[in-house]
Amino acid sequence: MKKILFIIISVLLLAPGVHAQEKSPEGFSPSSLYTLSWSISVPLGNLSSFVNNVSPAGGNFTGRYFLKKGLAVGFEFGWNNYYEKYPRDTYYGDDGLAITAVQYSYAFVIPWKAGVYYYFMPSAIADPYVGLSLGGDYMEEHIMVQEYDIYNTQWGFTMSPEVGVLIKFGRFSHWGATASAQYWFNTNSFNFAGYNSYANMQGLNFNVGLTYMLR
Amino acid sequence: MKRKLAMLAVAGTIAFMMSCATYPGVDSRLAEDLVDITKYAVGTNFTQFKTFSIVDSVTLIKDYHDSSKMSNPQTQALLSEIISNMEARGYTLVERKTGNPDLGINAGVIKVTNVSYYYPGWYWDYGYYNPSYWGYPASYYWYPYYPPAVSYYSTGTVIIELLDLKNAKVHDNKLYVDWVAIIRGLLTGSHTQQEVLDNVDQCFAQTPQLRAKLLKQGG
Repeated sequence: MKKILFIIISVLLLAPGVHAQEKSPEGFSPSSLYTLSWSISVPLGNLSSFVNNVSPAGGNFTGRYFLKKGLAVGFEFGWNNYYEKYPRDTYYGDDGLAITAVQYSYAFVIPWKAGVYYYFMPSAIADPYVGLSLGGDYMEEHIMVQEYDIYNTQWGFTMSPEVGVLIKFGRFSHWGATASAQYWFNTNSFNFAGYNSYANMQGLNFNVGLTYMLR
Repeated sequence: MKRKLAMLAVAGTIAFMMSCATYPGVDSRLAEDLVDITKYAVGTNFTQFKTFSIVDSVTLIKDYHDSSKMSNPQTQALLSEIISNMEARGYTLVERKTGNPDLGINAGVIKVTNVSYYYPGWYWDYGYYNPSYWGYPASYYWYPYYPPAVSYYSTGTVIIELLDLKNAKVHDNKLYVDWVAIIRGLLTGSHTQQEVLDNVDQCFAQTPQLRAKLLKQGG
């Protein structure tokens, strides 16, 4: 009874689940893992023409399922937002409109992706991996002047190679940390009143997250 | 428990950094410099006009039913600045009643809270320049485009409108507003008269189409 209680409390407190019979020098290989990450993004390509500031405002959630040792497939949902203040300047539209103002540019990207990943040392404490994910990016881009908000929305195809490392908090811990670098590009393009056109969105995301592993 | 607290602290720090990375709110954005918005009727040939006349006072619009004519050194400076910009574009100032102007210019200052300019009709009847001022008693103003908006906040706005008097008959007695210029800022901010005049110049500068003669190619 005490043991059962101990196990239940362990799970509830999200403490490392330690089972004597699974102890071995190699540690365990997870069957699946879930990671919630904080994502810092560097805008590249034409995205950096629209907003050039590095964005600390982002996050993502991933799930990965091992098909066989080291090889996993998974999903990723995330978001990154970008914003930059531009000094007073004149902007023209093709409808006869011209605005001279301080301007704020703001964009956010929401990727929905599926991927395939290879973990080199699934049972080690530190397990480096490479991956490639594909999917769709929803994007919004806003230009804001005083209370005016001009914006575009669109979907595009996205692709993202990735390298990272999973570090387990203990040889038999369910918990670990994942750090990764992700380059991405998408086919989204947009323009404002036909004047400024943007295509070829790219970025480099650095993710740090907490991982929960199932064995 | 300590681990949970540590996780909460980390999550809190990240959330804080994320919130710092978002854009400032409307109030902060409104507190920026004056904004100049101009819009002209695309397709208008401004070289067909040669003469213009301008109102003799500026209308101060305070509320739905509250407006008055203002004529003081500040408003005269505003009208003079508009005149000199028009003359620099090749237009000749003529008498409103006797000079048969091609263009009429209205000028107003809107100092209000909670007024929309999306559809301008509401204030023509309440003291802003009535079409009859321009000699068209049965006329009304008409935007050949969707007008820029002035709305919702306690803003001070200078509004300048260029009316097509020359083609009023062709336009079925509608006075087409071929160009509108809006200079706006928060009422809480203090802007000097010179700032406002500089912004009048900017409104013209960002409308190169508005001139009596075409520029020579490459000139």
